[in-house]
Amino acid sequence: MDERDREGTAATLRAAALIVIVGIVLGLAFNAVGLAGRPPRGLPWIRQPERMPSLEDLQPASVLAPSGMSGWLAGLDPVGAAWAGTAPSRATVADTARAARKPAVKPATKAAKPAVTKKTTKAPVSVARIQPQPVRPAIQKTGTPPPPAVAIPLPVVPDLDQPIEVKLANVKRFFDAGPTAAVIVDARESEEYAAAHIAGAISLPYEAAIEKPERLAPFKNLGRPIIVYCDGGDCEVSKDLAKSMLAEGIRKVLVFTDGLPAWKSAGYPVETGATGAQR
Amino acid sequence: MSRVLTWAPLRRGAQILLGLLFVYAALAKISDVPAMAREVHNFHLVPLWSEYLIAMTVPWVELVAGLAMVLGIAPRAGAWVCGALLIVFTVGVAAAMARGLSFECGCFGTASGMRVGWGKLGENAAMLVLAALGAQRAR
Repeated sequence: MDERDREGTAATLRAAALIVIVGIVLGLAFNAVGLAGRPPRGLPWIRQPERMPSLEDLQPASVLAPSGMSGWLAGLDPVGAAWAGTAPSRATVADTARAARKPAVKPATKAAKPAVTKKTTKAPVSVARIQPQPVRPAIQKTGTPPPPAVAIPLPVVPDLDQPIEVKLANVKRFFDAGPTAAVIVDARESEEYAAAHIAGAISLPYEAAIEKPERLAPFKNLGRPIIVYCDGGDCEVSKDLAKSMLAEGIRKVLVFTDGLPAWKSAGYPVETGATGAQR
Repeated sequence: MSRVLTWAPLRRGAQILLGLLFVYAALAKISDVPAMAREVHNFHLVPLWSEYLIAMTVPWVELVAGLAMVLGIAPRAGAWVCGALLIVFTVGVAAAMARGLSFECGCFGTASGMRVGWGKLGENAAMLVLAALGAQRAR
């Protein structure tokens, strides 16, 4: 490489550095102009981790167990707790109509039918619909009716103008309570939804909701919470979809941040296919 | 062979073609910076705090480099910058593929809908060839 080549290379490097610097300055200036506009259109300079209020932390005292046992109670499944006999002293029968939909409410009739008991112990799918619970041979042998049906009320979802984080235990409680208790929405793309999704979840990809906001209209005035999820971890589309819903006037939007991986890890029901079954 | 690679019309054609591609990609990203920020986030390669800074500056670097090539102001330097960006993008796509991630790469904005994968790697390789041709010194 002769002197002329070296000079040419150095000049090219200087020009390349200048291109990078000019590009960065223009990008920052463009964003600054956007932030100064009304309404502001730019991005914040530094991205901060988003913190959502937690549904578990927002529960009113009347729904929680006394003396700060909320975390313990939130982890309990109403059905499993009732059978195990560990929760009745803290739980209340607040909604008998809702409780009537749960398997635990009808143990007297079911326990009298051995075929039903046999089915529930054999079929993994039906077991997966509820929390694992101890086998109850004494009930089958003696015909002693099970403990009185007790259900922990579903969490109260406050009407906030921001998404609320919800944990697996409470998502499962809403799931067990049926589609009239909450709507579960899969914010991932259609292909991912078809590969696996929470049983009964509705597919509403975030990108599709952004392109066609009218797809959010059916979720207005549902009168029940909407639980949005995606792939857990750093997955953002559930939060983004929840924000879009709130911007459209939809309320009581919960974000299941642990998402499908946590649901699958717990062994809860998962479906495949492009169309979710109606629960 | 080297004479073919440094043939002026071929070099200039590669610079214009790559420049136009970068200008198009840059404008698509600049028109929807939040979407660009989401795509940056999807790669999970940079710290969270830096994602917005990358989303708001990289498209402008692409735009300036693309214009430098198309307009012939500093075509070789533009080809170098584009080549460096392409290497970074290709490493990002390969890393995402290695981790089993599947998402729209956002390389040409969200309109193209192209996902990370072998197709995207091939596309980047083709553009790297253009960048190499465009970076040749005139004889």
